[in-house]
Amino acid sequence: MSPSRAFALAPLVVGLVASLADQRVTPALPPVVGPPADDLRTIVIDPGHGGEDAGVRGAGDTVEKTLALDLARRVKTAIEARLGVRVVLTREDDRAMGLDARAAIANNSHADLFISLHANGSVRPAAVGAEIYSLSPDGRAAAAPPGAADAGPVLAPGVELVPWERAQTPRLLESAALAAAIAEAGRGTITFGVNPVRQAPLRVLVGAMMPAVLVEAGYLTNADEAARLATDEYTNAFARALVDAVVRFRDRASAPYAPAAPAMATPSSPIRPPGARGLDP
Amino acid sequence: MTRRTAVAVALLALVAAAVVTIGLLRLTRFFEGPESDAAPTAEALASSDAPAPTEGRITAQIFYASADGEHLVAVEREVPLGATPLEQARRIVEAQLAPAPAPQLSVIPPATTLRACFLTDNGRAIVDLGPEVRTAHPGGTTNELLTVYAIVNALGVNLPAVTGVQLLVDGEPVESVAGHVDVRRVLRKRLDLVQ
Repeated sequence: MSPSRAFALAPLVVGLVASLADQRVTPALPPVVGPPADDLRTIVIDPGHGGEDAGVRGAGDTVEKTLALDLARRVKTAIEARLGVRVVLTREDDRAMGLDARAAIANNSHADLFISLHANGSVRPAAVGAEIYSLSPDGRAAAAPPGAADAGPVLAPGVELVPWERAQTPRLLESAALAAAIAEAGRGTITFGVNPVRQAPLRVLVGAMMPAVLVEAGYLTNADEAARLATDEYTNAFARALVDAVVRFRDRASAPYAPAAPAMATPSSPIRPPGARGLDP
Repeated sequence: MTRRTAVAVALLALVAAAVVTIGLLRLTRFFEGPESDAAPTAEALASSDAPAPTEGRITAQIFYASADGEHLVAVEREVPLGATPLEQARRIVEAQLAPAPAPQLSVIPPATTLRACFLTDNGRAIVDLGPEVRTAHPGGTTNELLTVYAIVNALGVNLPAVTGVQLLVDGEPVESVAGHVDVRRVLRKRLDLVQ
């Protein structure tokens, strides 16, 4: 589905939870090189910005929208080759897109994971390192029980209406765990910032109904980091780290539930109670 | 004219004078606006109607970029004393938007203007910024996060009555300032971003 097509459909399907997993469209999968990831069917990768919105303009003529699209293509290739999972890009070329439209593509694709790719900027040229953001809980999100779906009106049997602003609420812990998995998977190969795992009220994550993170690959305002991000070696390493993180996250999500789990998920703890909707097919 | 008629005419004249006097007083109050102890409305509190500042000054915490560029640092600065809470809020935001004193570095795009500032009865501040905050923003999630929360923290830290801040750009609610941070929601101060 092209981004423009998905955008046109967004008003019709936004917020609708069709708990009809067996009606998912079977994607045309690429050849599987590695073992198939049984618990994952679709991952949506979102190259940030695009069109007139160039994002950060860094040292050495690097532009965020171009770097994000390049990295997204590498991640798509790596995931499809290693995991045999369908990967959908929210944009395949240099075009402008609204933030909610990107999450709508993930929802309409019945994605199991949503990863938005960006490059960072700072007024301090010394700022350096990758950072991974998940949505910060606001007052409404904090009031919702972890892992619980935010019950909305039922339109028809099996079809539930979820307010857009609360779509990510039941996934906050899983999203934080995915962010931690990326930081862990990239350790040793990726340069991270002082506090690489963060939370913020990021609009592109609000409407996503699956574990969702925003990855800042590095600071383009840092000349050394901009040069590093322009190399095939580093961007390929970054793509590999994201694939490893997806595998780590999948394996932990399917691990047995331990009742003594801490309030906030950590890389070493299960992230959701049994019965909660997540990566299960 | 009999004596009784004269008295009646005099009484009628007194009543008429009293009615006219009361009417004039009410009309004067109407044009002067609500009394100071009346419940303020957001519209009545618009910064353009605010009284002129006094000569006094207060010490307020203004937020700038940390040395690592990933956090905020709070710096005490003197800002003009506002005659009303609204006027004080406006003065604090103006100080936050002003160029940073050396060696500090501002996280607000240069030349960002304050179009208006409102306070509501439920502790919400509405800050309407000029379009420069979007058009001149250099981008980046962390950068945008610091831009937004420098303003939110400046109000939330210095004015305890302000419990939430809503940002507008050019008079309109916007999705974000630079493509990341959701500013359509009311934001509360975040001290974890401050070193």
